[in-house]
Amino acid sequence: MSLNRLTSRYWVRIGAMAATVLTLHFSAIAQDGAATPAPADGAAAAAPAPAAGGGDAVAGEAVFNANCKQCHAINEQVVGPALRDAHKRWPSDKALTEFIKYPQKTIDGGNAYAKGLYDKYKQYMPNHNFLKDEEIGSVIAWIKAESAKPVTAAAAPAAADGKGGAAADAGAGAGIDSSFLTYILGALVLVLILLIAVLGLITTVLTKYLNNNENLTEADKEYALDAPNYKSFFGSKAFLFVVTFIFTMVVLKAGFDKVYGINVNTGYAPTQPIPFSHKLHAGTYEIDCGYCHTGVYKGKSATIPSVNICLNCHNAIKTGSPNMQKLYKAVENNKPIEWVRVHNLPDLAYFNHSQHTVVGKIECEKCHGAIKEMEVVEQHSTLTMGWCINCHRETVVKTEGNAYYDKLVKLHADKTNKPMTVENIGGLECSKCHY
Amino acid sequence: MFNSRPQKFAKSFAVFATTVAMAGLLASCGQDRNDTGIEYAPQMYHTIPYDPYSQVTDTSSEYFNTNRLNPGGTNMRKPAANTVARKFYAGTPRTELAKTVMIYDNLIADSVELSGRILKNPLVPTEALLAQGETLYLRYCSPCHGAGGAGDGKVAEKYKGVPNYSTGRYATLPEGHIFHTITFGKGRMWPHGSQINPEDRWKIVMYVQKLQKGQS
Repeated sequence: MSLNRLTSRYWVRIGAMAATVLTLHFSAIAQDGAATPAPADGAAAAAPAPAAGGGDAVAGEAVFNANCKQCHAINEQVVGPALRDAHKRWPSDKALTEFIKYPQKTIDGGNAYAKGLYDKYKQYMPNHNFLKDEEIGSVIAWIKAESAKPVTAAAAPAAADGKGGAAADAGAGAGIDSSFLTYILGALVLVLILLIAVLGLITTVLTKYLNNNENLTEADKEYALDAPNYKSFFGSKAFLFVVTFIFTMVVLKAGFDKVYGINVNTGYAPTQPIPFSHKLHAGTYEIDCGYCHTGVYKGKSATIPSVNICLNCHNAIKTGSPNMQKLYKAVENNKPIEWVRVHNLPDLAYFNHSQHTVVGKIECEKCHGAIKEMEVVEQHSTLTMGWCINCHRETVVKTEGNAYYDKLVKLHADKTNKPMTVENIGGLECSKCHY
Repeated sequence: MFNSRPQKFAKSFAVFATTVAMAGLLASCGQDRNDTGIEYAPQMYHTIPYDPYSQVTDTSSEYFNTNRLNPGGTNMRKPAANTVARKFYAGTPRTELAKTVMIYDNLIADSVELSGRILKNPLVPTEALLAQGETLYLRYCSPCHGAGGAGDGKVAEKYKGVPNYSTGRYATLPEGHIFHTITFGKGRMWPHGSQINPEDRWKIVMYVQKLQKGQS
């Protein structure tokens, strides 16, 4: 029996084991992934429940969706109270209709229940006197029909929405969750280390066995037991040359990279006083860059938003978060939040945002990268002079609809039929940026 | 001699592991994302005059140029109360718009109905202005109000209570009312006067009036 065969058989078994472990791992992951969205699907399928009630209620739902839905829901408090059984809280449908048409008049008129509502919600509902009595009647009919449905069934769509959102969040999390990946990697490394240890043990055992085995031929013995001659290999000139060569190259490369990296802050992603996510705000919620960075189409600086802009939404959203408390404290103490500036252009170079965004019509992402996917903003471009110049050489001036360029375009067209780039209108002159 | 192989194996494995660990350590040196790295010729990089967002926090540094006299270390100060911007004060205003700005400065936040009656859009609608209005609307309003003004923006899913422009009373609101609402906010909407200047507000009003009629 030869050693070769023994080890190879062993390898096959180890391979099979590893494959089994891996398959188990990944099937578990796959099941997790498949399992989470399933309940949401089920609930969504159940959502379009058959509408109970007459045609009146159906018309009422349309009126409700157009006029009331923004502030009211049947089962949950939105801006105003939940409307389940609202008709039972009023003496008659007529009184309720009157209240919907003129809430402020009813409240100030001394209706105790209406006054109680105002004290609780601290605002008047706008007058809805533009709605016809029949329309309000149909909304009340719809509220009655909805209220008659049991809470669980009626609440299902709302709950499904909530759950669906949560499941989607969880799904997205599992897809990218780095801690989970780390665990898998850790487990794999552990398996590999175990493998090495086991193989080492086996080699020891087998060597011992062969040492004690008297029946080996000389050739077999030489093959199995002779240690390879490391000394002559590592001592050889060729080996030394290769090692020295690789080492020098690596050191040179690292050195040049370091020197070229001086004052180049690509990848700089400082920790901010509040962990603001551009991915969430600009990506998920599709808020335009200019909504917060109000200067970007107006002036030199894109401006970092002041707290009042944050509060346009965060007066109501996530108000309990400790990070929001920093915002409220900033307003209270009249002290701005000190965000850390990410893009630090040296004072020796002039750059103007509006020039590039309005006249040049350049998208923010061209220089700032995939901001909509950045949890923490990092510097995407090098912001070096070479980088600026390169773009000025390649970019064709957007002259269409801009009368300022008319004569320049004509002059340029007389000389050449190449498109007019920023370079052609003086975009490489020193004093354009340095003065 | 017979046991030499496993020993050599262990030794070379140890060397290998150490190398990997060293490489990892070295690589981690350049990974500090809070550090801007080496600075060359800082005299040319830092500003001597006050500059927006120049940010040297070390007070003993020779490049520290934060305005210590102003509250919060900012460069600008709030104008004193009741100050009127000079360009709108003396001489002949350049445009009709500039003339009316005097009125906007004296609007009272809770007089939205009054604004609805007295404020008129000084801009004459043109295709170009409407297009600008649309751009501005999409930038400042659509996150909540939706691209078509139906109150179905992405943010409105969280920030409830956004109306549909083309239904009910909202469809008939006068231009002055919309201008006032952008400036001072109304109901759940907070003031946007600090983000959008009067001229841009009127362009947005122009476009919103189109949305009120259900055109987008």
